[in-house]
Amino acid sequence: MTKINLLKLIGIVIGLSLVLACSVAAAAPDNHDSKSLLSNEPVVTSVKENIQKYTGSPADAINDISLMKTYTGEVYQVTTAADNVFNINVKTGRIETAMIQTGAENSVKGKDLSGMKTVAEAFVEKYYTNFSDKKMAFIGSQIIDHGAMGKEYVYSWNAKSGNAYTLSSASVSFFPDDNRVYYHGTDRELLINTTPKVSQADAQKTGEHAFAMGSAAETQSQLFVIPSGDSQKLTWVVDTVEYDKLGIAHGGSVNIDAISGEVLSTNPFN
Amino acid sequence: MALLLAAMAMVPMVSAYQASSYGPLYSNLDTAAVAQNAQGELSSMGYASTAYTGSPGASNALTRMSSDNVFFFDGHGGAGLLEFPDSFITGKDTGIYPHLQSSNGQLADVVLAVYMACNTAVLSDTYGNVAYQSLVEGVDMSVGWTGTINSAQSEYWSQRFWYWLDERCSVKIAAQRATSDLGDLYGTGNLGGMNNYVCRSNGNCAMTIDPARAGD
Repeated sequence: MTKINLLKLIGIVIGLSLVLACSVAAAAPDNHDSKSLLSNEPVVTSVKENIQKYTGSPADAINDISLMKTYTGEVYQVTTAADNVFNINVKTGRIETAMIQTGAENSVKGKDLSGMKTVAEAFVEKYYTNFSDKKMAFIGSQIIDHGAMGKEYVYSWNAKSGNAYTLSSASVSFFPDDNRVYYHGTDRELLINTTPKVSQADAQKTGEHAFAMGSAAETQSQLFVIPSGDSQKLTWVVDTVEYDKLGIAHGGSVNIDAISGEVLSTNPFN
Repeated sequence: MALLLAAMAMVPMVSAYQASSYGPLYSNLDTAAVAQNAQGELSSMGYASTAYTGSPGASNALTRMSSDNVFFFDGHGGAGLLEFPDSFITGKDTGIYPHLQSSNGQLADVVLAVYMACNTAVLSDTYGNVAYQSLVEGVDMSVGWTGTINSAQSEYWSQRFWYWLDERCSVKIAAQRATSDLGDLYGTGNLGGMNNYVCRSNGNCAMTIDPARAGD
């Protein structure tokens, strides 16, 4: 009996929120425009104002600004002299990603997973406006051991509609060895009905068929809202895996339209 | 003097440091573009950088690795093994496949090895552990994964990882930022297993590899 990888399972259970957009499923284009925007004064001014607005502190010296596509839009990626990185939504000015060094007041050394949850919540409430209004559900936490790179403490929240995970989500990762924290948050209006017409069982059969899986396949799925142009699409994300006699994994992820049953994308394992 | 400068401009710079990036072609996956992207970034850092795509041989890759300073593999793999089109490279000597295990620190010049395949940081009783065996053989920093990884996410993670290394980030920070950037593009709940990276090193993986360098 093949056992599905535990970390994969945990990732699916706690991840939940943000899902591969159809447009980026088949391949990973370079979504980063390396052209510097440092000479664009209105952009520089706007970026500095937004960093101050959301962090409560003036922006430290900016090293570079470039444009980057995310799965829900475009951001300015800002690197600073203090070795921090901010991704600022081009349309809303919100900080959607912050990769920053924390001060002593936020030190997470010596705290356990549950003890650090309070610190994580403080980060999310500071950066994610409307956090309480969104009724964000705490999805879970985990520790990832990166070996010589240290441990990572991960906390995740997501807004749900029925059984579907929407595009509004937040996560915080702490790296205690480095006093670094990584924040992600997206706040998107729900535009579609979240009742699927395709059953979970049918979606999983379609997913297994897409990879010609055998009888030993382990399959699971979750319902997500994903971006689709200017709209959204209700999608079953099906993960299926089986191992050959050498221990090499076969299968991968399949995105299936939860209304039409169409296979939107396949994404095999390495 | 002007003639000398003109002559220097026409002679391509040959780096003393070697980087090899492997992107094999499988029946269900072609990783050539990933290897070529890494090759470009490593070249930008100053390595004599080559991408091996299509059907690179496992034995040749292993032989070449002892002269590499950076080694990158993107393809299929499992606990203790990397799958090449003609064979495998295993962590442990099984008497069947080319393997990393030796008794002479054959990989002491490698500063960084990245094995971007499923379960390359997982121990197999039969085949060993690719990431850990690399450390034993003298690699300064070897990166593998615990668990399965998906090809689309791994491709973007790789782009960002080599990008941040080329920005002179340490290997540790490059991995953190690549994972964060991946979350921006695919969603933090849809990282395709790429957040389960593991570095095996006697240090803390805080070394940079730009400018080009050899292992300690």
